[in-house]
Amino acid sequence: MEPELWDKLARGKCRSETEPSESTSAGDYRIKRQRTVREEAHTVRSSLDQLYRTFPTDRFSYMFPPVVFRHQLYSCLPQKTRTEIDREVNAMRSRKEIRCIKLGFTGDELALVKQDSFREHVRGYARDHLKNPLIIERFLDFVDNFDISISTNDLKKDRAFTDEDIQSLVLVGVLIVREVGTWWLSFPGAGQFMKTFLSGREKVLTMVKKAKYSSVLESELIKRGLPKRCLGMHYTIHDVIGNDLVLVSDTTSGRLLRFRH
Amino acid sequence: MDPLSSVLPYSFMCRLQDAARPGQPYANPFIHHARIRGQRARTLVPSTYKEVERTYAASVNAMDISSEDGRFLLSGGGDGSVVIHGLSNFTESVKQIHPVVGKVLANSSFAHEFALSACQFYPHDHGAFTTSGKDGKVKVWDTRKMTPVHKFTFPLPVIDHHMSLLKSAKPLIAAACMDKTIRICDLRTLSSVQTLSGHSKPVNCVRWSRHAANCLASGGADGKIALWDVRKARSCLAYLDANNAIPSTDLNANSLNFAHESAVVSLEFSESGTHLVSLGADHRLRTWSTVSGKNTLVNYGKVEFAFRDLHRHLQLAVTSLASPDLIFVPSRDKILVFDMVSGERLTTLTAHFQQVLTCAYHPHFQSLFSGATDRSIEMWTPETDFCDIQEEKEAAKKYQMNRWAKRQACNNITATLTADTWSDED
Repeated sequence: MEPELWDKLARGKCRSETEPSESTSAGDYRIKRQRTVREEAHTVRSSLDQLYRTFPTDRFSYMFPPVVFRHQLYSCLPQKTRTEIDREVNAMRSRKEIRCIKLGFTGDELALVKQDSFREHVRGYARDHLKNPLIIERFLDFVDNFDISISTNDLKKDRAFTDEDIQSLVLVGVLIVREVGTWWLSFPGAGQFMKTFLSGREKVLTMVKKAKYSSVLESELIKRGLPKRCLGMHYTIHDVIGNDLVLVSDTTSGRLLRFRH
Repeated sequence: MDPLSSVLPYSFMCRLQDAARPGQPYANPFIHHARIRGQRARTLVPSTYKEVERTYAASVNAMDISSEDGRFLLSGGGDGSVVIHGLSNFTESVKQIHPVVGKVLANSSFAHEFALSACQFYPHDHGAFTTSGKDGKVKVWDTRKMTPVHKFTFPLPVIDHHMSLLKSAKPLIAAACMDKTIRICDLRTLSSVQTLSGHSKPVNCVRWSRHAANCLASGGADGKIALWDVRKARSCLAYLDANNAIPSTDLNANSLNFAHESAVVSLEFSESGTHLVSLGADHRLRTWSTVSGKNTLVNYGKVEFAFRDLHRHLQLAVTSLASPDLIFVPSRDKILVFDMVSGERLTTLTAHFQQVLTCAYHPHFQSLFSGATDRSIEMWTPETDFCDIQEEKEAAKKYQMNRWAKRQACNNITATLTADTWSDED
C-alpha cells in the first residue's frame, strides 16, 4: 500500500477527497441531529414531554389536564438514579415550568402538571362554572408563588381574597381541604382523574397477578392493552413499575413484571 | 498538621481537602485513611472470629459505644436490664469473645421496671452513663459500681434521650416523652429545667446538633421534625418540610410542614453535622441539610418499617472518620447500608432472625454492632479483617501464576497474528 494513502486513511480524509464538501456537512448535520435525538430521549424533560404528548385528554372530553406522576419517570429513565430525577424535577419546579400537586394516598405520589396546561384548564373550567371568572385570574397570578399547599392566612393577606372568594375557589376545585386553615392545591376534575387512574392501575395489577407464575413481559401487557375508559397502557405500566408495586427484572426480551406477594 | 483540622470534624476535613486537589486522591494521608476506612465499612460481613458474649433474655433495645476510646459497648434490654461489654480484652486464641464486664439484672432493684428505650455513655468519660425506660424514668449511672446516681421521673414513658457530644455543650439530657414534649434535664442541678412542646403526638426521637451546642432536632409520631434552640424563649426554630415548600411568614402554616407522611422513628446527625438523617414509618429515609433546613432530595428507595406501634425509636447508625458517609438502617430483620450522598444502596446485612432494633458503629474497628428482638447482639466486621496468612500467600501465588499464563497466551496470539505468512521473500 502507498504510504500517502495510509496517512489519509489515518486522518480520516479519504472520503472528503472523493465526495463534494457540501454533502459531507449535510451528513455531519444528520449525525449530529441523530445524536441529539438519542441524547434527548434520556432526559427528564423529554420523557415528561413524551408522557404529556401521549396523554389521552381528548378521550375524557378534557375533564382534566395531562398529569404525570413523578414516580413514572423512574420507570421511563432506568439509566438515571431516582435522586437525579427528583432533583431535576425540583429544578423544573423552581423554574415554574411545572406545578406539583399532591394526589393519591401515599406521600410519594406527586403529580406534575405543566404550568400552561394547568392555567388553560382552570380557566376553561371556570369560564363554564363560575359567575365571576376574574377571581380565577387573580388566583392564578397569586398562586404562582406557592406550591402544593397554601394557608388561609396567606390567601387573606392584604385582602387578596375574601371568604366568599375562597368558597368559590373550593367550588371550582382548585383548593381542597387539608386541615383547618390550610388547603391543598388541586385542579378541577382531580377526582375523575384519580378514578380512571386507579382503575387502570388495578387492572394492570390483576393482569400481572392472574398471569402464569404471576409474571408477565412488558411487551405482552402492551399487546393486551387496557379498555378505553382507562389511561394508556404505557402510562399505567410506568406507574406500576415506578411506584414499586411489582418486582421488575430485565430479560433478553424486555422487562418482566412479577407480582409482589 | 493543618490548624483547621483540630477544629473541624474529621470527615468534613477530608472532604474539604478532597475538593481542593482533585485528581490527587492519595496525596493526603487524611483522605487516604478515611477512604480505606470507608472501603472497609462498606464490606461488612458477620464476623467469623469475633463474637459478643450472649447474656440477654429479652430483646436488645438500645446500644451505644463509648465515644472517647471505643473500649466499651453499652446495651439495654427489653426487660430493663443493662449490660456493658468490653471491646478491648484481646485473647491469645484466634477466636475472640467480647466479655460482659458489667451487668444490671432485670430483677435487680436498680433496673428499670419495664423495657429500656435508650442508653448512652456520658460523652466525655465512660465513668458514667444514662438510660431511659418505658417506666418514665431517666437514670444516671456510675459505671464502676453499676448503680444509679440519680433518676429523673416523668409521668409517661420516655421513648428516647440524648446528650450532646460536643465538648462546648452544657451537660443537658434531652428526653423525648410520650406526653408530646421534650424535657431537658440538667446534670449540674439535677433537675428537669425546661419543657419543649410543639409536637401534636408523642415525640419519638431527639438528637443534639453536632455543631451548635444549644440546638437539637426532634422527630414525632405526627411526622414532623422540629429544630429547637434551648436558649430562646420561643424555642422552636423551624419544622422541616419534605417538599421544600416555600417558607411562609405565617407560623401556623409552618407548623403544617411535614417531614414524613407517618411517624418519624429515627434521627441522626452526620459526623460533620451538616446533614440530618431521618427514618420514617412511611418507609422513607430522608437527608436534610442543617444549613438551609431543606430536604436534600436524595432518594434512598423504600426502607421497610414493619411495626404497628408507631411510638417507638429505632436506632440507625452513621459512619464517622470514613470518607464516603454511610448509613446503616435497621429494616425488618435486615440492616440496609446506604451511601449518604448518592443514595445508592450498597449492601444488605442479613443474619438476624427477627426485627433489628438498633445499630451502633465502631469508628476504630470499622465494625458494626446490631441488636434485635431475637435477643442477640451481632457483630459485623470488614470482609478483609481476618485472612489466614498461609491462604493469603497461596492466593497471591495463584494470582501471579494466572498473570504469567495470561501473558504467555497473549504473546502466543500476537506471534501468530504478526507472523508474516503471505509475503514473498523479495
